[in-house]
Amino acid sequence: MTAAPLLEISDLHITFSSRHAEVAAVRGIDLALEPGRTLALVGESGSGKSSTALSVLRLNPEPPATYPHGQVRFEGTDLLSLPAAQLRAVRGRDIAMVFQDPMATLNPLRTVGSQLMEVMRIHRTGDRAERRRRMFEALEQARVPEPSQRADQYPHQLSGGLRQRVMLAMALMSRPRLLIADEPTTALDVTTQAEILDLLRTLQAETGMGVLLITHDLGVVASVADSMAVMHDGVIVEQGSTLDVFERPTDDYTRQLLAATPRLEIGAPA
Amino acid sequence: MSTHETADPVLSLRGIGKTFRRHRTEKRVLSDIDLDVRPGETLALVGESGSGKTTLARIAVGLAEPTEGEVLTAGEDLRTGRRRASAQQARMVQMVFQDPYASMNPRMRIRDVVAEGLLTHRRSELGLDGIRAEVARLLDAVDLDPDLARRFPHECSGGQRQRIAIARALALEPRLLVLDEPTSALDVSVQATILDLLRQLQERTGVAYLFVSHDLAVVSGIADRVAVMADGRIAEIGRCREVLSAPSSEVTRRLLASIAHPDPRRANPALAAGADR
Repeated sequence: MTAAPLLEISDLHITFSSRHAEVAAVRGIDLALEPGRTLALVGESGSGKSSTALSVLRLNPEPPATYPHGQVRFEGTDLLSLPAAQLRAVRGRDIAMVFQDPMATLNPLRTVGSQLMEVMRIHRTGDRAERRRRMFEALEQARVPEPSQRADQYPHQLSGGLRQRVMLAMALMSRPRLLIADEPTTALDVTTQAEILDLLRTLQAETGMGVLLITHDLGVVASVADSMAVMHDGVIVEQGSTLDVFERPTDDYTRQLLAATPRLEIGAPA
Repeated sequence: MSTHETADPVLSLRGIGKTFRRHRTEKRVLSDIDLDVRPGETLALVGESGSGKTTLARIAVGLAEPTEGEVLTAGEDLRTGRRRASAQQARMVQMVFQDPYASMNPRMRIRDVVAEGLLTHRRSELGLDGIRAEVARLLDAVDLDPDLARRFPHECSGGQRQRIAIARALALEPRLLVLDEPTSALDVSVQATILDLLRQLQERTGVAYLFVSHDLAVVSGIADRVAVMADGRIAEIGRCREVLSAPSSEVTRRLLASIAHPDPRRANPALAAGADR
């Protein structure tokens, strides 16, 4: 594969400082993601994986976050040195994000449809009719059943799985080239998780977008990621193709993580 | 294992039904549940969200009342002579919740969190010095540093807090612990140590577990038997190995098919095929 990277993170440092302390949450990491591929950033709580994901859209609150070194280049442009106005043009349009808890990210007082169209209103794309058409298209892309009814409903009227589909539809509205998914299935039960992971794979095949997936769950990584990077204590301890890392891990922490992950043991217990 | 099957159950649920009523609407969440938990065994209760497994767990521990049916601990119906019975049930059946952050009073020190049940139920028997010694013994039993006793919950990690919750639940030497998704809020490496601890404690004390989970991989590593719930009923129950290797219900098959295996060749055949080409 010789495609230019869609996203290239080099020597990224993220520090959170307060009056009393400075915490170097991310200490010099390098990552690259090509279009149409899924890169999983794996780690446990406190590893720095979410700060890294948020840094791509500069969503870590500043202060306390600072970026003392490094670059986050999206299609060649360093997002960390971009002026606020230009950054806003990228957010939600070229790069979209879905979060773990759809109930906390959806506005409970507005209908699904109006929230989907918001991103186009903000970026001033299309007229009203165009936005509505695109809204139904996105709901269909995310396999939301009965989109015309769902568009008029409120988030609390939907199941957890449907809410996550709505979040994905919202992310797809402006046809992003990069999707950042931060623990998109952690709040869901197993069967719904399987459906959402399946949908992620389908959407990627249909749209060719790159996906940066943040997760602590190696089962999720194995299901959807082409490549993976294992984070621990603010550094990447190992990265490579998903198959290589699972089958030939070279780092002790990666081995520990693989060993700790529960597997279906039909033979046990005795 | 064979002893589980002959001894009297530590908990029997007989014909349990539950209907929630609100604003003149009714929602039936449990129907015709019969379930026995035997001494020293781990019975897993699995199902999708909304299947009724958490409501059933809450009924088992006395946090919710069934609309129909009986809850018998060691053969006694809890609904006769309610006050004495609920005190007795508290000593027989204890609970560990999913979220160790939400299940502790943030203004209590760890020693008081662990001692609370002892102060209520065994103060005259143990005396204050006895209770202090018991708290130290319990923290040691869950592999925690006794110095933690002086701290507050927010000063402890998620894994430490779940150990504290287990110590608190064991304080009254219950014969059954109801564990509601006890590891799903924890990091994987912490989850593995908590599951290990639960296995050790069961070996040492003979306590039985009713283990509520939606994660069949976790269940397969800890349960002797498994009951699969769907739509408020038990769809299937049996030895863990048998249910998971030869499921007889649609819901079990669906749960098994949904597992995200931590093995790319199994979870993502397309990727594996691409790599081999």
